Amino acid sequence: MSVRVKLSAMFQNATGGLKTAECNGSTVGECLKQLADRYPAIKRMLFDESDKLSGYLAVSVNGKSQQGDLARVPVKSGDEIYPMILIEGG
Amino acid sequence: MLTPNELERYGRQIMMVGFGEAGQEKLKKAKVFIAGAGGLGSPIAIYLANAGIGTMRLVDFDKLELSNLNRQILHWPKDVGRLKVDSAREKLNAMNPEMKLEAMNETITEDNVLELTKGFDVIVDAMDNIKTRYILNGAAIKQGVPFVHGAIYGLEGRAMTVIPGKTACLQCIYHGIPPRAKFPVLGVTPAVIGCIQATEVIKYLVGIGELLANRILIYDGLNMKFMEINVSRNPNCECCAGVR
Repeated sequence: MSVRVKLSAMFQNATGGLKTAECNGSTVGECLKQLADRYPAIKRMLFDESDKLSGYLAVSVNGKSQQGDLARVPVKSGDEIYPMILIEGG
Repeated sequence: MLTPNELERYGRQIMMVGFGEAGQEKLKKAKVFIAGAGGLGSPIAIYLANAGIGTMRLVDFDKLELSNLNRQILHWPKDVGRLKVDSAREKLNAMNPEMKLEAMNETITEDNVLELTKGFDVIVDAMDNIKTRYILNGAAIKQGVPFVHGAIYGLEGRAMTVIPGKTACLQCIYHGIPPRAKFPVLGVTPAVIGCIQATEVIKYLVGIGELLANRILIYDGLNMKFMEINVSRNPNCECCAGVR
């Protein structure tokens, strides 16, 4: 069992169409770091220049939006992370 | 009181359970503020005008460019180079001459937002930048009126309705202002999200159904799926913390 990261269409453009990635980690930050290592094209979407989670990122776990220090939000096997980049278009 | 013409024009929606003539009268009395006359603003304004909203204020500062035409359906090739509010006024007045429309060529700022939105029943976000979205979100919180948010990118869109003092606001979820960049978009994406926003406005004004409050609706046009994220108020929100 592992943590699933569900990828929106925006991320799928950078992961060759992959819709869900499996990660092993105990926090949101660890899981998204694994994802970024695997798919460098999305690293700059998720992390800033100092390798911290982007300030423009919102994250839900099991369908619930998380607050505070997102990188430290705990996750366990079977959980589903959904990263959402702030989008501005109108 | 609805006129015979209005009873006929809006007859099909008046037929709806929970809507009725009373619902139509609420729309007729309603004042809706729409920020932006572009990709989202076009379907929002069109559908609200045709639903029988009594008063609409539509604000935009931009001129129409050729590259806007794939999605900004209020505007046509002949309008390239015109102010979007002038183009919008012409079309919306033709669609619904009874609606009181103010199409204003203004840039929305911290300094003028309260004056621009004062007295309106609902504020609709059809902007193309997060900074102005935060400004409008803040104005809605201060004035205690709903804020109907929408945003798009490519084939993805999001919508949420903020009820001040009761549900999560935009800044409970998003933080910071990214550098401006051109965004890719297929015209149907703002059409989908704009229609959802117009639906939220109508439901709120009539008092029917369940709003997108404390939840973000996410449209994934690439895989043709909708999903929801539950959100809650952030007790440390820089905009709405402590507001009741």
